[in-house]
Amino acid sequence: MDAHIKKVYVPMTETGFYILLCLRKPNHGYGIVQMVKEMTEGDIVLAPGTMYGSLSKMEKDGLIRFVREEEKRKIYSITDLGTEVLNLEMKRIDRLYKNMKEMG
Amino acid sequence: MGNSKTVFKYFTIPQYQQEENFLIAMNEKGWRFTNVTFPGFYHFRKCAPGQASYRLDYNQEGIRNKAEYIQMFSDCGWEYICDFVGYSYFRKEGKVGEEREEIFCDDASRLDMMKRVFKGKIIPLIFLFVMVIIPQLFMNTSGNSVGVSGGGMFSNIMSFTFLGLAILYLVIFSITAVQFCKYEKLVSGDGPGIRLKYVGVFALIVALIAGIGVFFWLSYRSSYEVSDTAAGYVVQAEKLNTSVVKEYDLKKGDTVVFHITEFERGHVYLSITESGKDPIFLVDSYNFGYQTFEIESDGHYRIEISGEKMTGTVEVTIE
Repeated sequence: MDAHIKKVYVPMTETGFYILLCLRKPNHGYGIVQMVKEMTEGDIVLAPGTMYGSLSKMEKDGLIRFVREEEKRKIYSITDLGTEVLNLEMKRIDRLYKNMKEMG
Repeated sequence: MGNSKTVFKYFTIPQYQQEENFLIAMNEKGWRFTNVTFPGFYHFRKCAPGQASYRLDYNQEGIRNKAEYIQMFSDCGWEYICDFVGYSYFRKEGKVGEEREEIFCDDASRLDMMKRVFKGKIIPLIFLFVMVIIPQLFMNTSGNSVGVSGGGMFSNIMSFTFLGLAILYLVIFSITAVQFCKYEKLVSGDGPGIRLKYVGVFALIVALIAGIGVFFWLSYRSSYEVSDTAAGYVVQAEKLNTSVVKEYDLKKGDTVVFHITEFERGHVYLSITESGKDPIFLVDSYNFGYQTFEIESDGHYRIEISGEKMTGTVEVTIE
């Protein structure tokens, strides 16, 4: 993983994290928005400008790739690099969570 | 009462939030935004007064893949209105305020949009500023623009136009820098690194302005001496960037002689004008030599020597 990816994505925004988490199965932007809404019981509603910008940025950086288009919606899927970044984030959040439990 | 309305309004490039607020306010008054045309005519259609969010995105990739881009927004409940100079306009019915509807849900993506605006619009502007506006400003103010009479440093419209443009540009740059600073603080905290960066940018802008000022001061600082002689006057100039005017009552048959005894560089204009009239004698000279003019009627005359970075000596004698 090169320095640029590490600098931009570690740690990553909540939006970025949810995108990678959801794209372990191919999905389109709005599909991710709906999944996240369900997962967080409506607390997090990802906005379209943020989604569009993040998806194109992540595609350009090689974290996700374009699979196909369905009814004007681009379907993406996570790449190996994306998985690597996601795992790093998961470890970081895991540690955060453990420490929170221990200290709390 | 018409059902449509056009309002002219000008927002500089980074003022998209003011633009959004303007559209929201119009909607509250019962005017629904339908389109915007160059250079800033906002078209509205009558609607029931109510609350709606208007948001601007700047995403060139989105404009290139328009169908898919608009689909994403419409899936999320945003109606696409139009594009204008790179910005895309979106509308969503509903309350503005506490549950303020946004097209960006985090500051990182808001900052990303500003970076896209910066790359797409501000950088070309900076390029234009450095390559066109500044050289034009110099050329127009230090070139052949010093008028025959008046002769000051900003003597023509071009200078003012380019000076105006330069100031407008600096204002746009400053607004952009302030917005960037605000958001970057939000995203990555108020670290000393950020402050340093912006202090650096501002220092650069100030240095640029100061540089321009010093340049003008150096180019326009005149250094010359005027001394009266028995029958006229002498201008000895190390650098003449202004005009020297003397007034005389002259009679028919008097001859005014301009004698350029020394001439190193620059440009000099000589003129004779009867008060309240057009110049009756007007020459510009790069050279040594005599220029003579015979007065044809009695009157009050102004004799003017106007230089542009002129080094030399001009003697005026009335015979």
